[in-house]
Amino acid sequence: MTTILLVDDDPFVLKALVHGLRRSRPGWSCSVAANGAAALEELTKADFDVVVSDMRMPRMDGAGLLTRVRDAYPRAVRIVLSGQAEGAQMDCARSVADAILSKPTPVSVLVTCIDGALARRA
Amino acid sequence: MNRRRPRPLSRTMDASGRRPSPGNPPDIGSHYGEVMEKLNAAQGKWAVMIHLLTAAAVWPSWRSVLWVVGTTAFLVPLNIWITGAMMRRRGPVVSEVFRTSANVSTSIILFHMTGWPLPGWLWLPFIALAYGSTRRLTAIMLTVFWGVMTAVALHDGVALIYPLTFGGLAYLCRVFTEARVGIMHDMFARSEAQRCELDTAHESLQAAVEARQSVELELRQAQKLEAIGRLASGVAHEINTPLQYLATSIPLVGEGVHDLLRLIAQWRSRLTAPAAHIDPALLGELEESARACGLEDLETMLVESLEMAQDGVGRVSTIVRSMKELAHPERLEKAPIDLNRAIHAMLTVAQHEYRYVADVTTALGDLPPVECHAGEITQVLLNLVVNAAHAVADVVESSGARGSIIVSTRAERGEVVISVADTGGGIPDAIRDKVFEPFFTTKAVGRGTGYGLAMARATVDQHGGSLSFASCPGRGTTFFVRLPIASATTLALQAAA
Repeated sequence: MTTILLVDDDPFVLKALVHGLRRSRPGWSCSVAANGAAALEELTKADFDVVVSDMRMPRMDGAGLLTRVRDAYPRAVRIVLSGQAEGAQMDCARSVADAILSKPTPVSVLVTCIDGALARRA
Repeated sequence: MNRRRPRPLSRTMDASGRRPSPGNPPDIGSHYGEVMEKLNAAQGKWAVMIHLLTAAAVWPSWRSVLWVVGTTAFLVPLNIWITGAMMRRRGPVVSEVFRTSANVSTSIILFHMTGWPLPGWLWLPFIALAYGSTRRLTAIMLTVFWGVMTAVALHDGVALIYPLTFGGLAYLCRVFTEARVGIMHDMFARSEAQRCELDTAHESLQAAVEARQSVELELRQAQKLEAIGRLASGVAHEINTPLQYLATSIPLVGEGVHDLLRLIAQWRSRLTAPAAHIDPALLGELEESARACGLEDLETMLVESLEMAQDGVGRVSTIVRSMKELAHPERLEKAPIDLNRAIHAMLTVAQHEYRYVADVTTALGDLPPVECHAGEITQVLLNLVVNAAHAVADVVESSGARGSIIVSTRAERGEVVISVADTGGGIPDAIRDKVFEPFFTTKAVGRGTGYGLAMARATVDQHGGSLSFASCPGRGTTFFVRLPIASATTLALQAAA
């Protein structure tokens, strides 16, 4: 079973994504975290195949989170889903993420993106 | 006798006839002013005559006339000679000239009359007192005075006397030479020159102030644009988050609604099937509930509403994305960009400018990526489109008709050409040369982007391109932006390789 960790400081974004992914891929299991630090905590509790993270978040931002994920869990797929498109943070994210998606991204695109990344990883 | 032969000093001192008492010294200042006024009122030559007659009145006898005529006959040539000597020296070194004079006492009086350290007339009472206030001395002094005046009048002409009388008694008491007139002339010329200098300085200061204001305005506009850009970028980011869950939720709701409706239809068909043994009363109740909530219309309404919501989210996303592309912080170096894509983004953002007045058509050719500052070039194009929209609006304003704006691109010989054509009123020949001048505008205050064509041209020039236009008054204008595909730096690097 594919496990996905969704990280975003907006609970509505998380809720909508969980619903969307659950409907598109009923076999996937989704967990959520409100920021980078919370996400790292989740990662210690369970293995995740995919981490989908926002960029601007309190406590630990997306770039910081994905860098640690790359170092600690190199097999996990790292995807950025952000409303931001420019800036130093994004340049950093580009080097550690498998894919960059900008908000708003339809769930179907996210699913395709995750499928592709998982296929490459396998 | 007293009335006919009043004391000369009191006559001199007090024109109003009021005798100054010893305990009540005459008000010399005010008296001086009164005499000056009287003299000023008289013409130059009459002033001389008045003084001549005054001298005669002070010593009213035939001898006084003789005395006056005699001293005049002596003093006039003397003064002419002195004046001539001063002229030769080309300078008013009066004391030296007077030391050479044969008549020492006259010289002293003349010297005092030149106005140093007091105007001559103010010395008269003191001299008169020193000489025991004799009528004769007073007459001498008066004669000396009008003698000088006559000399001046003879030498320099009545024309000089005229302004002298207007200049006051201090002028009258001075010996005028060409040198003095020259000095006066010099002073006048200097003050005139200073006035000219002041005028020039004032003009240049005004120009500098205007230039500064222009620069400040430009700077403010640039800062405003930068601030708007930053704001737009931030707003775009803020809007994108709710857009994300809208874009995720709406299709979910759509799918859910679709499934639910399918489910209801399925149940209904099963319930109403002849084979189904359902209590007719229950069926009637269900049908009544379905009618009450307008189930037949509900399906159409839900589907259409969801389509609209989906479309709305799509449009908001497009606008926000375009806004972000347009306003994203400037990169320092030029980067290859897809101009056609930038044009689409720009047209989306500028929609509100043209939507109600013109139809925009694009004819975008195949373009290679163009090395440029994307934001700056997009601003230039935005400016051209907004100008085009304004030009069209001015024409169609009253009629309610629509104009058209055509944005086209093509690549030719190492450069791309972007043209923005409108069906506006065109640019009159009279202002053709001015449209690129900084802050030249025919628009009302507050209209336009504040990003003048001058700045647009400067931007295009900085890219090594050119901005030009062709206009047919009454039919429209087309602006052409030409940009080199590769920047000068890249070309240099390629050449080096």
